[in-house]
Amino acid sequence: MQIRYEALGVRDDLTAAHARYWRRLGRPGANWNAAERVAIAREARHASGCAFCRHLRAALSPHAESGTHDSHPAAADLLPAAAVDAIHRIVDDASRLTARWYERILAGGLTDGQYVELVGTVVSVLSIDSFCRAVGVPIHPLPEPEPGPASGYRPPSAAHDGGSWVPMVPFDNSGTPEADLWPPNRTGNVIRALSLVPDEVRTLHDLGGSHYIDHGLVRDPSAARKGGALSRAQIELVAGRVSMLNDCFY
Amino acid sequence: MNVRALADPAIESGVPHGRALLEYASAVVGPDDTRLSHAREALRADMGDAGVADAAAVASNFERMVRIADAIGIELGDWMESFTEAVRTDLALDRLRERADDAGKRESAVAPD
Repeated sequence: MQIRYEALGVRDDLTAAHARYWRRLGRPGANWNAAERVAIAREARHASGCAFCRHLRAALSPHAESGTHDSHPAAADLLPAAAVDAIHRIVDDASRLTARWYERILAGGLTDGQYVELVGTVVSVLSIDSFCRAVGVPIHPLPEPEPGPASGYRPPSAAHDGGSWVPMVPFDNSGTPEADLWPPNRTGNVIRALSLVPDEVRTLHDLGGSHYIDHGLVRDPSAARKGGALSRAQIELVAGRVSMLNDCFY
Repeated sequence: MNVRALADPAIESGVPHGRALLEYASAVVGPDDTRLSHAREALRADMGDAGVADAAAVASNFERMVRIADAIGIELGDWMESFTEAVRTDLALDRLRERADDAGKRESAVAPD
């Protein structure tokens, strides 16, 4: 399918990045096949109407509550219950996720690679859907999944190093197949976060470079987008307000 | 930029079109479509279609980034900790980390190992 934002002032590079992600969403990943990836996306869209999620958001201790998420009928055939719970909580109450909850998700049958790819899928779809709502256009139909199995790829260098709950590629990624993800020893944990599934970091750079600013320029406070409509101060004002409202400590 | 405007948009940010941008960012995160429609038109009047599109791009980017940080349980790291120290103090951001820690503690109290 073609992604277009005609007559809305949307930059061509942003439209192209969305189109690239939509194609990737419909292809097999490292840990989920394409039908499962599209089911994750569909469930992420469905989560915002979940009554149990509303109950959890109002609860003082969301992890002590019991109940069942309102899941999309298609999810039952393709996604384990742990995946549905992860999708809903990431969409609806991410700031109160805990390491113990993550361990329960793994005990519920998800691998760490499946979890990381699920996170990458949920947040990418959520972001593009949020962009559509923000500019006032309908969200895009989900892609038709392509056949084929997940690749099973896992970076040989990925390990737990205390920087997050999940294994990550080390800061010094030189000489590894993941050397393209960041310059050796020059990145932050938020970029390494999804590196157990390297294509999620490549997507992060692709979408981040067109939505926000190229990764290599983020630490330069004078850097802004050439030809963009916002100054760096205006960019950071919007970024900071959205992060604040999402209770993001990072 | 006066970073306190991030927590209280009634405070002057010192950024051109700051009020319209803060209201638009708030409306993108919130659930009210009517508020979003008004905020979009106000920003369009200030900055045109391209301003709305670029602000939408930034706002939706951070809807993504905050969830990555939360869902992967990342630590700030030494560089980020020192780079953001002043802003973190101004906005009391560490209380958000404490809030997540509190959720973990309550969880442990309810279901101890």
